[in-house]
Amino acid sequence: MIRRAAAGLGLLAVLLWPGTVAGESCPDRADPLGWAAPDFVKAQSGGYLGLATLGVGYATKNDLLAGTAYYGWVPRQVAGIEIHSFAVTLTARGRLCLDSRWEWIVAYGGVGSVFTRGEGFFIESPSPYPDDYYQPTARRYLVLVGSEVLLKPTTAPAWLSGHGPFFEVVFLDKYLSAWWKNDRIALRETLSLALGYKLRM
Amino acid sequence: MPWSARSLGLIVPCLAGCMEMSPFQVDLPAHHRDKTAENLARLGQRPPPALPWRFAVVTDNHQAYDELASVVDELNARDDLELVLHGGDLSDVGLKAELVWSLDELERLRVPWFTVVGNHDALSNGKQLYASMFGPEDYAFEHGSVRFVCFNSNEHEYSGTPRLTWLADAVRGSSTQSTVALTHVPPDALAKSYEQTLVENRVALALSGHFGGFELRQNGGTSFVRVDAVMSERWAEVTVGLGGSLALAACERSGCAPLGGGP
Repeated sequence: MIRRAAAGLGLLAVLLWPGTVAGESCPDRADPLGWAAPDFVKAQSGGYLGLATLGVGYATKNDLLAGTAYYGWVPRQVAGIEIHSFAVTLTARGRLCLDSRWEWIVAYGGVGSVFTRGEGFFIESPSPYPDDYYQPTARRYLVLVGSEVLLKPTTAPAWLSGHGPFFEVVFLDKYLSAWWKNDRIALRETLSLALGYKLRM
Repeated sequence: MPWSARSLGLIVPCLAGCMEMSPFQVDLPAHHRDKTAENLARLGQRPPPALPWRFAVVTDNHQAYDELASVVDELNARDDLELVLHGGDLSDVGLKAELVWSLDELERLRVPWFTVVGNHDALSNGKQLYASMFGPEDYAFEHGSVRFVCFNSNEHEYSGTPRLTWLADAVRGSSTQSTVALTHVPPDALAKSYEQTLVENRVALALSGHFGGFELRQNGGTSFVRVDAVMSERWAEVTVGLGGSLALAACERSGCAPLGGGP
C-alpha cells in the first residue's frame, strides 16, 4: 500500500509540476490565426492509441494548456480485428526556451479518454444484460506525462513556428486499477510509451 | 553502479516491453501462444497416475491476480495433484495485459493446467486474444481413467454456443471410466442449455463458475457443480478413485471440506 501510495503521489507531482514552471523563460507566443486554425498537429505510435495515430489540437494560456483530438488505427494483423480509436487529451505544460531556436517542453501531464469502435466494444452492456452488467469496453481513461523538444526553423513556411519529437508515458485506467489492487503488478506494467513528431503552427 | 547504468537498466527493458501500441494487441510472443496444446503435451509426458489422484478447479479471478497467485502457491505446495482446471474469466474486460497477468500465474503451476473461456474474456477483442493465447475454445483430452471435456458456453458472446453436437460427440463413446465437463456458465443460466446433453451421455461431473459460491446439484447421474471464485481464494478439488469414482471438496487456504458428499 505504501509503495502504491508513493508511486501515486509521484505521478501526481509530475502531473502538477508543469504548471509551476510554465512560461518562465519564454516570450509570449503569437497566435495570429486564433481559433480559426489548429495550433498543432502530431503523429505518433503507441501510448495505447494505436499503431499509427494522428492528432490535432489547440493550445492556450501561452501554451500552458493544450487540448488534442486523435484518431488511432491498429491493423487486423496486430489486433485480430481492425481497431479504430478516437481520443481526446487535456495537458498542462511547462516550457523552457533554451535559446532563440530551441524550446523544450520540459514536462507535460494530463488526462484523456479513448473511444474504440468495433464488435465487442460498447458503453452500455449489450442485450440481454442490464446496462451496467459490464464495465464499458469502448471507453477507457488515460493518464499521461511527456516531454517534447521544438526547433523553430529559420527557413520555413510562415505557418510553421516549430517542429520536433516528443515522447509520452501513458497509463490506462484498467491497468492502473489492477496495479492498485495487486502487489504483484509493477507500475511499469501498466504503461505504454508513445513516440511521435509534432508540427506547431 | 553508476547512476547512468542504473537508469539504462530501468529504461532499456521498458523500451523493449512498454511499446504496447494498443491494449488490444493479439500478436503475442511465441511463449504466450497456444497454451492448451503446450499443456496437453506436458500432460502426455506424465506417467499414468496411481489411484487415488486429484485435480483442482479454480475459476473467475478477473482482476484478483494476487489471490490467484496465492492459490497457485497453495496448489504448488501439494504433491498429489495431476492437473489444474480454470473455469474462465481470466480477465475483466478482455485486455491483453489482463490475460497475460493471469497467464503469468498459471504458468507457475507445477502441473499441467487447462482453461475455458469466460464471458468477460470475450469482451473488447478478447475472443481473438483468447484464441491466440490458448487455442480452441472446445477441446477434450483423457488422463488416467477420466475424460475431460472443456467447452465454451458463453451463448451471449459467441453465437452458436454451446455447440451441442460437438459436445455430444465429445462426451459420447469415451473408453474412460468417468467423464468430467468444464465450462464457464452453469446450464441453468442458459437459454440453450447443455444439461440434457450431459445427463443423457452419463457425464459424471459438470463443473462451472460464473456466479461465485459453491453449489452442488444432481440431475440423473450427473453432478452439476458451481465452483466459487478464486477472487475469494477458494477452489475445488476432485479425487478420482477406484472405478472412476469422483469425490468433491471445497477448499480454501485453511483446508478442504467434502462438498455435498460427492457425486
